[in-house]
Amino acid sequence: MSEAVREPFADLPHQRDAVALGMWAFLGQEVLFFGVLFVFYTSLRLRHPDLFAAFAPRLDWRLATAMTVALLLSSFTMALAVRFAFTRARVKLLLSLLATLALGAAFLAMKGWEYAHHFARGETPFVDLADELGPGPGLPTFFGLYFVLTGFHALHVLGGLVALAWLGFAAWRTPAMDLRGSPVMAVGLYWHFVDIVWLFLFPALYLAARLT
Amino acid sequence: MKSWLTTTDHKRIALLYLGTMTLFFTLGGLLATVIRVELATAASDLVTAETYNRLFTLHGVIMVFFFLIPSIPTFLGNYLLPLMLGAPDLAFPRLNLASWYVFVAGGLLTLTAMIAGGLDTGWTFYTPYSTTFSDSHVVLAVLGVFLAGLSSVFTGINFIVTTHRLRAPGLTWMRLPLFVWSLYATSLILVLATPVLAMTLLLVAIERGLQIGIFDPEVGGSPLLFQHFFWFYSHPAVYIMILPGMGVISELIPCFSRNRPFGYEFVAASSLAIAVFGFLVWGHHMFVAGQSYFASVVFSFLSFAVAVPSGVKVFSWLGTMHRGSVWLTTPMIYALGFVALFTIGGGTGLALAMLAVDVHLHDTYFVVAHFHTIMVGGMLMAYLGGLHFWWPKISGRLYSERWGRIAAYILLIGFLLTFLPQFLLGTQGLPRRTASYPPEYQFLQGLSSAGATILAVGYVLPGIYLLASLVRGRPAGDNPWGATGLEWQTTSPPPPHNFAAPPVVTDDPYDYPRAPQPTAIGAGHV
Amino acid sequence: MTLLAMPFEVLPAAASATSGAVDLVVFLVFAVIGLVSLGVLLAMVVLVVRNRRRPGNLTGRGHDPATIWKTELGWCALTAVVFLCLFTLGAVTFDRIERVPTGPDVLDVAVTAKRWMWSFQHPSGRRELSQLHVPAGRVVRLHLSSEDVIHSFYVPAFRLKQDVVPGWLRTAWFRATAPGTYALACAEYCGTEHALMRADVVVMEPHVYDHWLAQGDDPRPPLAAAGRALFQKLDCGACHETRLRRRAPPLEGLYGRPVTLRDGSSVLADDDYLRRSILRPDADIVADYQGGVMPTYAGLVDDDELLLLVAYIRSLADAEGVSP
Ligand code: HEA
Ligand code: HEA
Ligand code: HEC
Ligand code: CUA
Ligand SMILES: [Cu+2]
Repeated sequence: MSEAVREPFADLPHQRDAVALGMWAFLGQEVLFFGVLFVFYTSLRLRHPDLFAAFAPRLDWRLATAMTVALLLSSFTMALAVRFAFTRARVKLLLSLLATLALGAAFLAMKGWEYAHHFARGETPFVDLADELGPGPGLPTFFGLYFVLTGFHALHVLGGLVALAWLGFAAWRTPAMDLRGSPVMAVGLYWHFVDIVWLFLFPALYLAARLT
Repeated sequence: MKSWLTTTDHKRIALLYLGTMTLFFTLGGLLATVIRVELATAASDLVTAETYNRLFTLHGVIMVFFFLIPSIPTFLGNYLLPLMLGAPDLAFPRLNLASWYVFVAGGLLTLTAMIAGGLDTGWTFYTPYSTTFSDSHVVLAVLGVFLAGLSSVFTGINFIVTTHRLRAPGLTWMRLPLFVWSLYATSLILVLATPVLAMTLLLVAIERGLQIGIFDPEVGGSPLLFQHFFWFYSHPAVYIMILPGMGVISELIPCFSRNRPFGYEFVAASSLAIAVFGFLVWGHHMFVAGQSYFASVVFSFLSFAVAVPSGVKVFSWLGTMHRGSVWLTTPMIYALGFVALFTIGGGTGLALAMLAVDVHLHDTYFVVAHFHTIMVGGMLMAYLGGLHFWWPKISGRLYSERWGRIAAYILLIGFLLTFLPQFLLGTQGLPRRTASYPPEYQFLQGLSSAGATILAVGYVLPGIYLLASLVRGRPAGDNPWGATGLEWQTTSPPPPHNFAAPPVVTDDPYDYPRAPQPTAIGAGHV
Repeated sequence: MTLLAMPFEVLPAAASATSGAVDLVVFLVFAVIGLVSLGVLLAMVVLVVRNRRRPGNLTGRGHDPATIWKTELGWCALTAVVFLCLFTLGAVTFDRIERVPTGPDVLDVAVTAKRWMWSFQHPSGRRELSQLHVPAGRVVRLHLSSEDVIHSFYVPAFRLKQDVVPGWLRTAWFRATAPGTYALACAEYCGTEHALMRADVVVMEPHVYDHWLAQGDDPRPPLAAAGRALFQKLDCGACHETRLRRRAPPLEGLYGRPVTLRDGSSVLADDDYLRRSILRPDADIVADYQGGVMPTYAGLVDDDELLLLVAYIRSLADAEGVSP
């Protein structure tokens, strides 16, 4: 993670600036990426409010609250990591990265448990052809939405974990005096973004039945 | 070889793109050739209807996603942006190389789909046909396009950051070349529209691959939602295609009129206006799909609004020639061809944006003619114009001016003959995407096929004489056209880090009255 | 000669009550495009010839900034005005051709699109395939549904096009002016034989049509009657009887009128609304009524039966004595 000045930049602040701007642009496109999912959600909800009333209660909001807490905490430790990266406190940086990693992993573990649970109860998006009612908006529709939305989010968390692991590895090998912040800052921005997406998903899905 | 595949030099990456895209264009053109041969007769006799559907689908997909959208940005943009800004490279050189690899991977996936049996959904991938009914290789193709989109996003981010952070000292926003402005506007669309397509295509792949109902009306989905998503990207995408072309024209016309651009601020601002308004008009592709009456009226209105900044461009180009010294070189012929055909193509776009008119013309050959006039007649002309203009800079050689002019005129004639008849086919009511058609359309279809033959010759010619110039051409010198702009102040071709010493800008752009006189072609005379 | 005459005719001969209005707009906008394009072309030729590079004219002479601003803004204003006119013209005509007429004289035809053919059913119940017989001079109202993918009902001579989307019921209309046979094409790409998904619209003098209809040998009961039987079988009347109006809204006089919903908005009771109300009653809840009372009929009635129910409710459009 030693942050040498690279072609084409003449100096470090310039390069750091560029990395931040690039990350912001990337997040801008992520907003639209998830935007499609939220429009999909809205469209379904407007046309079939009954689906949400019927099936949203099957989602475990207590577990989701725990996941929310894990992510919020991880955002906090991530913010610390960015700070320590800039102050070149290597041990603290490593610890806070590790904490973020652990909290993110905990989130994914809970998500995985939840998925397994839904699959075990037959709450899957796959249309059951044996169902005598035939296809029509129903349980598979709602869980299709649920798995698509949370699935893409989980993939983003996973990507964040990989980036965190890479940061941690690089920080571990870099002498403290060479530590510089911009990669940590970039990953930090990304991590906060993923966190915010969850803050929208949580009420949209888990609390849907309660909020009407 | 290895040094090329691992290069991070933006100029070399640009050339990698040029090579890749020439291949795709040739492939797309060959598909078009088969289409035109098939359509020369009314019956579907050369190929089956099934094959025909695969032909135009792949033609559309390849031409749009693997040729026209990346064409000018990734080739001329990649090559010229750092030069025009006085920078040694793009902001993220390794990301730039990665974009190319992702692009190639996407292309290979799509080609795999093609070889494995093709794709027959039309380039629009409409559901539920694509998700449930088609039995072609939708998932592969969709992932291929997804990768091409990802590559676009990377390029867009790179361009935006480069323009913001790597301008030479003294190069203020109001001194940027107009080409840079148009690339900037294009990049904004690339970054903000492409993810919508990307996610939509992923949803199609998920629905098809995992049998999850997302757009399927059987389980509560909405096919119209797909159309909204698709056009939310694909209308802005047509401005991704045209804006860089407009930028090229805005460089060519001042240079070959030896004049300052008329209304620099207006041309620059209109690029941004097109980019912004372009996001608000997607519904004009759905006038008869059953969106609400109110939505249709609003989308129609906004479609007209977006045409105002396009008109500003045309007006400004004409204004630049006014009080100029017009020099009809090969690039200038292309530029003028662009202006004429863009006006016709854009005008017919307005006809389509009129609600009552579109009811009749939607999904007929009129639409086909509309977009080929802008994309082939307009954008491809701009691409070729730019290629000829900067060829001496890129290769260090001058091409044969005589053959250049001949090819340009052949292209114009071939183009008109191919696509003007299609306007009439459309008004007469022939739907597009039909392998066979009633005999009364035979004459015009035949005319169009004949024109396509001439068009093909026009495209092969530049390939020949440009390649020939590499061995036989005269050395070009640093600034053969006597053009302004930082890219002309370095050698041809430029050295690895572009400038011997970082340039400093002290003047306004396009100071043609005080620019050096051209050295190419008879030193300053006609 | 006919070979040459035919290909250059711009629009097919007009054959419906609205095609004249559309043609007028088409020619107008083509005239504007033609004029502007010619203007641009002419300007370029003049500029290239007059300002060509020659000794004595080797550099441009620049422009005065004030002129630039004035002319650019003037140009924007000019194009904006032209565009506004074109837009208004298009929108007004669109309104005219989209608004579906109602009235006792309207002929309702159910159209089903299926890869790759069109089938039609007349109010009398008579069905036909790939041919649609209609009388001249009468408003024909089409109720379009698709069994698979999106198709598009396109009759160039009528300047009429309407996409047919699976899962939705669309309405379109025309009034043919002259007897004759007109081509109907599918305009939305729908798969292998999309090109061949054509049919004929045969427009006949009204008395010939009546004769044709009488010949019908299809024993099926008329649409509305069949719908009524189904309505009874499903026991919709258990709630929708007029005297039970406290339980459920009466369906007489509903079709074609605006309905006020519980959230205060208002929707037009068209085919699609009826369809939705039957399949997903809780999507739009009528003002003054409760959601969750009417069960959903999705899965209980198929597309054909749905058409029947809708046809029956449509037939109640002019029923009397039930206005609340
Ligand atoms: C580069 C590509 C490109 C560009 C730039 C445009 C530009 C425009 N397009 Fe086009 N369009 C396509 C590519 C493009 N289009 C494609 C690919 C499709 C079909 C997709 C498919 O279905 O497969 C399509 C389809 C399409 C439709 C849908 C047709 C249908 O399917 O029913 C419509 C409808 O409104 C439309 C409108 C417009 C308008 C109003 C513009 C405007 O931006 C044009 C503005 C420009 C001008 C107007 C000319 C210059 C102006 C002047 C000189 C001023 C004075 C002029 C006058 C007073 C007339 N386009
Ligand atoms: C950028 C976009 C682009 C370009 C450039 C073209 C180029 C051409 N297109 Fe294409 N076209 C589309 C985009 C494009 N098209 C799209 C999006 C569709 C809609 C698809 C759909 O409905 O889904 C379509 C559909 C379409 C149709 C309608 C099919 C139908 O609806 O049934 C037709 C029919 O004539 C057609 C013809 C042509 C022709 C003759 C060319 C010609 O201009 C091509 C000429 C080129 C050549 C003949 C190649 C020759 C060159 C070489 C051999 C290279 C040699 C090079 C060297 C030596 C270096 N196209
Ligand atoms: C258990 C009672 C019940 C039954 C049975 C029932 N409905 Fe309804 N229906 C209602 C109620 C209550 C409403 C109003 C609330 C709403 O819009 O959902 C309604 C609304 C409607 C509407 C919209 C009316 C309007 O004024 O906009 C239609 C159409 C309709 N029903 C058709 C049917 C048909 C067809 C059947 C039989 C196949 C049927 N209903 C069976 C209770 C019922
Ligand atoms: Cu049905 Cu095309
Ligand atoms: Cu568009």
